[in-house]
Amino acid sequence: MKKLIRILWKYSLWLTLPVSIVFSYWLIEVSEKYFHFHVLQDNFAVVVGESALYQVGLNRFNGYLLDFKANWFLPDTTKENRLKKINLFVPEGSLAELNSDLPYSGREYVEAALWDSGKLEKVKMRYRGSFAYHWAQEKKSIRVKTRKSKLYNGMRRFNLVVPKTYEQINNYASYKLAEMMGLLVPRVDMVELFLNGKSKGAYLFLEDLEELTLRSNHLMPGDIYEGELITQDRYTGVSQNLFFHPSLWEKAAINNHYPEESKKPLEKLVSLVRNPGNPAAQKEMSEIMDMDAWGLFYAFQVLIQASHLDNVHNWRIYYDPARSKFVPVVHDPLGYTFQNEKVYTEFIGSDIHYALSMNKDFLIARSRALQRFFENGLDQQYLQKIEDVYNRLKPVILNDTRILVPAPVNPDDEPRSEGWPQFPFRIASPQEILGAIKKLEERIDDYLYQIKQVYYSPGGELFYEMPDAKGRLPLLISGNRAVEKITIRFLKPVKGEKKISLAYLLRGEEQVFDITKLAEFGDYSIEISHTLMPDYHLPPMNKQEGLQLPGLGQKESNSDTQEEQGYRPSYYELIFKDLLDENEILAIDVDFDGDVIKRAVKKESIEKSSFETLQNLVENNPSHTIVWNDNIVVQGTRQVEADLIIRPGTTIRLEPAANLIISGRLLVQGVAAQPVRFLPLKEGQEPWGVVALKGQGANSSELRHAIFKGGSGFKGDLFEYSGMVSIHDVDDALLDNCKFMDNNLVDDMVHIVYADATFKGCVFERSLMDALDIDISTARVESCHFVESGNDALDLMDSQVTVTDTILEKSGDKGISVGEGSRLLAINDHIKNNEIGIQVKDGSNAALYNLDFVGNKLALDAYKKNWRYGSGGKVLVDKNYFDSNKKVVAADNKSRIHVYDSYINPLPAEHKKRIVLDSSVDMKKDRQAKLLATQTSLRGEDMTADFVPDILNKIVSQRRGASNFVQH
Amino acid sequence: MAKNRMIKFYLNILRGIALFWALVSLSVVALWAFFPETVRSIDDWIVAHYVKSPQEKLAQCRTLIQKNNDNAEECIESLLTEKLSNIRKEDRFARLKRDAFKEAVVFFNKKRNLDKATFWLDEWIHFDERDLTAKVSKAQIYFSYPGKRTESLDSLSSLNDKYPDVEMVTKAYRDALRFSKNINQ
Repeated sequence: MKKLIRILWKYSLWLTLPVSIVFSYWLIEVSEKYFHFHVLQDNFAVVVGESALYQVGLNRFNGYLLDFKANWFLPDTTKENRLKKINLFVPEGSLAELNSDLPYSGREYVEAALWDSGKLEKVKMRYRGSFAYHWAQEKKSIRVKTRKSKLYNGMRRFNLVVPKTYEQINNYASYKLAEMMGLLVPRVDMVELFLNGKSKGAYLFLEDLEELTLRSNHLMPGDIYEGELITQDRYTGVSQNLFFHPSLWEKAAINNHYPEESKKPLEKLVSLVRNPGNPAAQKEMSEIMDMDAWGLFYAFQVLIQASHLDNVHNWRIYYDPARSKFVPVVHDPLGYTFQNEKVYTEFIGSDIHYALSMNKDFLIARSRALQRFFENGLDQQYLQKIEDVYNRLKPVILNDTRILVPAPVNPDDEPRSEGWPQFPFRIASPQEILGAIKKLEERIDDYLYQIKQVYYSPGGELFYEMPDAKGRLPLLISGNRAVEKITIRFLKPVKGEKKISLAYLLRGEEQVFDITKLAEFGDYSIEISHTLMPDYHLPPMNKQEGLQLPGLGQKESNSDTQEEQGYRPSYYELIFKDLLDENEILAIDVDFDGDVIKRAVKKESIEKSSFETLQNLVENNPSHTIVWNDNIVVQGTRQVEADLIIRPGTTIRLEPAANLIISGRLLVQGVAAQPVRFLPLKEGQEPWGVVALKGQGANSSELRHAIFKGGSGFKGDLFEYSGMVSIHDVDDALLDNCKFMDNNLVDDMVHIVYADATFKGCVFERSLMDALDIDISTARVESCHFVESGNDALDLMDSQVTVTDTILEKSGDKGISVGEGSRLLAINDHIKNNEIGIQVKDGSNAALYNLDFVGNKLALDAYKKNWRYGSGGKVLVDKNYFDSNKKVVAADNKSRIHVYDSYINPLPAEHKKRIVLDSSVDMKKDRQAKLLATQTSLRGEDMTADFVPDILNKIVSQRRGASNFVQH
Repeated sequence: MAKNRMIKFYLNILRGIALFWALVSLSVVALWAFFPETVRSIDDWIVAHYVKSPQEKLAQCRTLIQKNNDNAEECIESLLTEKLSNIRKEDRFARLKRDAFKEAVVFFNKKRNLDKATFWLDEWIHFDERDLTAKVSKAQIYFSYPGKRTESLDSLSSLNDKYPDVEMVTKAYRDALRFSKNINQ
């Protein structure tokens, strides 16, 4: 026995020493984490509902076990199709610095390097995230900032976020769905992070929201409001409700036309949200919120069963200054976090949800968004996308032993918390994670199926009761889709006074509206085109405290409140004066939502019901057409919401600072002999403001032979019209033989943004600054004449423009400025006596054919000006004529100019790569081309690909330079 | 020979320590595996022990302040400069530190010691830039000193510009304006 003890004693170190070392290591790690993150900081998110000491100790222990297993039994997955890799290199000292005093130390950037396109680029990195799971565990969420001169795929800042859910892909799947649905989303991907060459597992790659996000989404730079009131963003001494306090919001991007601290648009939005029951407030909400986008946003939240948007955090809202509308931005949506079998098809998570749910336009938009989603088969595409990412994620997960997630130990464990996370964070094995993702896929499939049953329905029903002696026809609409049109068919011809009213009860009181203008009377039928909503009921809200409703995933005890909300049948009455006398209704056809026609069902009796919350069910003044054929005087700001026809010879005189804003279709019917004129009321007066076309209601507007003189612009807290004539968010506008001259005060004479317009035979004279400013639009400028522009004749930003048969002369700066990702195709133009003929910059392309560059100080220039764009300008020059220019061509090292078959006098010096002169370029044959072929590509890129091919027929391949046309 | 004996001696010590440490580790594993409630109790005890001392000290200071005791000043200042000096906004004691700041500011203001009150107000604001109570308190305390009234009004005015929707700010500004008007009349 003694001998045995002696032997055991002798060899005991083989066992006791490793155990002691591992234990000591464990003890140090656990103590550090426990004391720092729990005792000192009390970070609840890591240990929800559990003892911190127990949880931290257990996690570390399980981590060792997994490490041990992984070291011996790790499968080789390196050759499998994996996620995209992000390689970051950080000196160990810098990492130690970041980790020295978390979370505070992690918020300071340290120098690092990023492997990008085969090169190591200098970047800065730091940790990011409000909650402890972002930085208190071994895998940490990271923010990377590049240099301005070297963006990463067009991004200055991006985040690498540790997936924080059991199934890892919740946020990725949610963002991807938002992207598929067409919402405003930062760029997102699932990647594998390598830190100093060592894999750290799967991360969510997420663009950091800033002005670049707007630009890459072809949106005007503007304010992005950021609503966060948790952890370090929390304010003390004020209620924690973002929709009470606009001043507590921050900005992720800024509209630099207003003071940085200005939040006027947001203040307006909050004031409307605070008065949801006010019809005027609801009307304004419809005007300043892009209801299609908000409807889509809500549909998205229903589809991902979101619970992560509330009154205290995760709001990002963009205010589009050109459309004067708020657009939601998807931020940290974190869908599918609750393991419920029941799907929520209605929910309200914040005061803004509540206010929107009382808005007819919003309800229609969200219902349509959900229908379109299923109609277009996006549900199936989405499931496929999730399966694809699972396959690429699998090999990465299998190699990751550091996945800390909030997960039940046993499947039937009760949640420890009502909110997220429902379970304490624990280390989970790769196999368990993969199993959880598979289960999530099944759950999503099931959610989509259930939501489809509710929203992708063939509409509700319309019931009617035979009209009473007073000519009242009771209607009842069920389901969740709006009725767009009702056609009533009669037995006998329709006779009597053609007058129809619509009545409904609002909080017990009858509301009656004359809708005769919306009815079309046939011989045996009446067609009424007006949206009739089913009722939508909401539980009351506490005005002082804001919304106190449960979000999704809450316990069943709250389910009563959930059930109160939603669609209910609605009751209307159509009132016919005497149309029904001696007549009989044969049938009523109903058009639900513009695409489902149904026959209404006759009922013996219909019970009356009253609307309680929905506002503005019937428009007070249905749209119609206004005709101006006399002299008109405009004072102050005149808004025309109807279609407007202006007859030939009409003169519109505007008082100083007066504005005319038209949101219907404008038809200016001037002719050469009798133009329509927009002039100052008195000679020598201060300038008038703006004539503006605004919104999609103004689509297909036509302005013929109109003269605009002496205007300026118009700027308010919520909008800015920077041109004397401004066209915002209008498609298919035609400006034919119009003349614009002598504007004052503001930047542009004519400004178009988010528009599609044709300028034909127009003259732009003596603009104060730019003559025609085109932002984020498509435009055709044909046979126009720009003369003596104070700055640029044509200024393009993120636009696609053709300029043909046009003269641009005597510009104070550029004849054409092609900037910020624009595309220009110019054919047969005269560019004369400008400071700079054409300048192409910042990721823009220009293809120039048959142009005359004469007498310019610098004929052609290409360079990179704005750091937000990775490159300068690319210019293809073919069959052009350059003469008497002080300098012919210039390009910086980020730009390229290739010249073919052109006459250039004098010949410029070539710069390797930057300026390439083909052998066909000379200074001998001034007008006769050498080559019959036309060049369309520059280094393999087709420079004309974005344009209609027919336009290329205008190129005359035998001629260098423009034809000798004379205009105006 | 003697050298071998020395090696054996040290080896035995090492074996002893390793054995002891291994037994401790086994006990800890057993604790986690079979007695999680005990771990929770230890956790609770540690936290309670950590929390107890500053809480008691603050309570003691409050009592001294109420009794207008001569040691009150020393008590509240030592709490803030010693026990709570390293506490930051996201720490467990953040709320306690905020309460201590409040006590100190009220105490020194009562004593009409503007320098000290200002010092602790600045510390409070530095501690949490988003604490509007601290910012409004500073302006209000300044307002009670005729020589500082203009500075106070400027400060309230700029707070009012920045947070026009925060009742505490707007009310303080309104009150100050009304009071100034009355005085001028």
